[in-house]
Amino acid sequence: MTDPLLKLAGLGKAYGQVDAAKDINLDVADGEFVTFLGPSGSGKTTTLMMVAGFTEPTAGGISLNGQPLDPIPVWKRDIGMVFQHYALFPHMTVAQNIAFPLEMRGVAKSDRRSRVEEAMEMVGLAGFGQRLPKELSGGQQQRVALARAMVFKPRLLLMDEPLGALDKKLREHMQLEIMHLHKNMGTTVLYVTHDQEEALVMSDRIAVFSNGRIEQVGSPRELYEAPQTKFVADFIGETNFIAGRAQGCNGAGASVRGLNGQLGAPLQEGADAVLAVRPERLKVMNGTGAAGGNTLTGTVKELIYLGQSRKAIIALEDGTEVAALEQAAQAEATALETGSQATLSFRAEDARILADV
Amino acid sequence: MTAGNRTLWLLIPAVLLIGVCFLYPVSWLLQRSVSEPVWGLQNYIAIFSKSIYLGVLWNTVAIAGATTILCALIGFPVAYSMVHARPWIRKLLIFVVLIPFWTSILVRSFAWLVILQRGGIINDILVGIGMIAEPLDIVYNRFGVLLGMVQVLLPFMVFPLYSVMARIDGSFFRAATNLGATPVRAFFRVYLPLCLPGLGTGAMLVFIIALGYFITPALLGGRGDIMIAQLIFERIDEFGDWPLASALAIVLLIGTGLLFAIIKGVSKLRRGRI
Amino acid sequence: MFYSAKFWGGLRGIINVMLVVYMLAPLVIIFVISFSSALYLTFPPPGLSLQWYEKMFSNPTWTRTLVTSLKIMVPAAIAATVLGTAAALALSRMDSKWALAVRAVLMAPLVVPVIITAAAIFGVFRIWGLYGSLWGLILAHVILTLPYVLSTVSANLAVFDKRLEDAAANCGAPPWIAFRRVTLPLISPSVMSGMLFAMVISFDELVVSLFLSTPRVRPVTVQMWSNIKGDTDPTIAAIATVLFLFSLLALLADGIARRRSGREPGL
Repeated sequence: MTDPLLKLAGLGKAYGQVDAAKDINLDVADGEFVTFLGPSGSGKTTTLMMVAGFTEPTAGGISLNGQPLDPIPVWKRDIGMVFQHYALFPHMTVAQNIAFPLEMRGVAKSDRRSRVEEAMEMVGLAGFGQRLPKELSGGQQQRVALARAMVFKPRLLLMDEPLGALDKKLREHMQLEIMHLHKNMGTTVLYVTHDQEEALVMSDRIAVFSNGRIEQVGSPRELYEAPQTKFVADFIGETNFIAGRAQGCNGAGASVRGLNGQLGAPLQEGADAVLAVRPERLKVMNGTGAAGGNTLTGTVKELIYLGQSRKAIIALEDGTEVAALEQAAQAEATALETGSQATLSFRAEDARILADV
Repeated sequence: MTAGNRTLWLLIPAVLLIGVCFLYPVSWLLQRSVSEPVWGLQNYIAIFSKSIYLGVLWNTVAIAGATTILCALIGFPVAYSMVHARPWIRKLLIFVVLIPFWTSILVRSFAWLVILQRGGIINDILVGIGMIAEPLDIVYNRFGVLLGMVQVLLPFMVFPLYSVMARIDGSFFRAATNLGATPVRAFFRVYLPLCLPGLGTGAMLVFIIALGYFITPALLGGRGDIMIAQLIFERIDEFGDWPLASALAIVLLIGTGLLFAIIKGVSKLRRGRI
Repeated sequence: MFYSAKFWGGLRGIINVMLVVYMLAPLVIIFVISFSSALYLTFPPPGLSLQWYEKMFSNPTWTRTLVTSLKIMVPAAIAATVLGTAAALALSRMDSKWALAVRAVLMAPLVVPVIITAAAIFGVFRIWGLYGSLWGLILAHVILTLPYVLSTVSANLAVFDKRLEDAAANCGAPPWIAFRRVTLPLISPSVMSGMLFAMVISFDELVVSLFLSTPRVRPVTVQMWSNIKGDTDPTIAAIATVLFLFSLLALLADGIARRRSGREPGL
């Protein structure tokens, strides 16, 4: 990687005894779309606010383009931001809202006008310049906020749950639009959300936050397929956990209860561990079929019809419930029935063995 | 957060001004009340033992009390009528009741004087139509004082009552009478208790504000209606009797303070219960 | 009879009319008498004329005291507005425990009976040589009107979205510019409201002025007071009408400001 655009080094924010964010280390490359994903109170917004300059870090530092940001006040950081409920200036028209950052930068009036037009065009709001924010729909307000944050071509664009207030359909539409804008403008984006689907769809990389720390950073695929912690495996997508002790730990693999899997992170021999395997990676067979390798047997507890797929909930002997997802055609062939016996199998490379905390 | 510290200096002018030109003067008053002619409580003892002062204290409480009762008696039907009026009538009534907030007490007291005095409008008309031979004394007495004070203080009773009544379901009368209560019973057993919080707040506010009243009783009352505020003014203005005037002021201050504390306490209790 | 809607409706109507008469009649009568052609206070007036307004404006006692009132009101209202707004802003950003205590102190002049404030200020100002000076009256009026500004502006700030200031800063506006371009325009209706309140309170103020004024520096209310206690002619009705119209104008201006900003008219 070349020199990162944004570098968070050991960043932390403590309120008295409570750490809102701790030891955040992250490099963001120029042009990257990075999402902070986590439940509320996980430190993702605190971290974003430290980058924006609204919250002062109590540990570590932030640098942009190799220059430390800490001594630079908010209004000189040149970082664009889309706020959670847009924070449009209600007494200014759409055009005035979008022109505001240019005005603050002393852009000449004529120049300002054309750039505002351009920005409104870009977000599909041409002709709305004279409206007041309250005369616009939620989606339109969202676009104004986007235009205002991007009009001065910031090096870095921050978005704090920008789509949280929109309904599902509009949200999905806006996700795509934001992605297109990002591609066309080449701006680096830090995006905060608690919606894992949104994160998977939009991001180049995702940083998963939990309890004020980054649990794991990686591409959506890495996080989904190769989670390094139980939290990440649990938070992103649906996962089955089978608890036990880690055995036979070598560099890459280990086993739990005789089931083999890949190690997500180095693990002590005999430590409490879980084997995590995605429902769609489980192969389901009717009855107690041939045992061998990674197989589990249990009773079919519930069958859920999902249209293009079917979910089977299978209770193992110790009571652990495991979900298996099959495509419709495959499901018909398996012909399961509630109460009957079923056998599940999976490949070792599809399972991760993670520390159980 | 540091934002608070950065804007803290904005407070300094206001705090300085109130401190130097209000808090200090009031404490100066307190000091004079206990330090002259010698250190001690002699001025307070005088207030609570000499009959002229006791008379004024009694007047103050009696006038404030009567104003409160009258405000309640008038304010109750007014608030009820306001709640159940059509929107434009309600707006008009609110405007009318609010007028005292916006017009000088002096102007309104003067207006009453024009209407009520011996050569005033009411006496003119009554004598003119031959209903009475001699003009009536309807001002410079307790009646005049109460008429003026109730008008000024009515909003403090009406608005707390209004906000309580607006939350009571209008169909309560039908419901209560349907359950077998006579309308009178329904009113006293159901409606009145529901209005009590508003009535209590309103009554306390009216009483407290009335205690310190000066202009209205001074203009519309007679020698027998002197209230504590007027006595303080006269003691200073005519006699320069600072020690006694200060002590009177402190008595008034403590009285109002105590009543305010009671309101606060009661409303806290009530909130705690809900 | 108790159950008849007509009875209750009629009763409510009577109550409403009586209320309107009680609250408004005195003011209406003063208003009418101020245009009387008679030479003494009588109602209804035998005819209409502007003689009392002429008298008012040609009599130096009234013009001088009216001007004095304005000389006190304008600086006092401006000072109270600036100090009150600044205090409201600072308090809105403070730790709530301290803010509560400071707010209580600043609001005290509104709660303490005005006679106490008047006596206390008079006593101290006399020592400081501020008795009988315009400055003393202005200072006292600032003390009395500041709480009104503080409470109206604070009420507005309580619903003001502080993230708008963050957004302005993020757009590149330093704190002072953010305040001027974003915060101030958005709270200006309440600042206006507070200032109008302060103007009306100052213009109508009598008790403190009674203590602090001398025949040389005397606001119009004090002049009215001494005239009412002596002989009354309809000139005072004209003055009273001027005072009343001033309040009414302020009330209207406030209503317009509130409507324009889309806020509900406050009680």
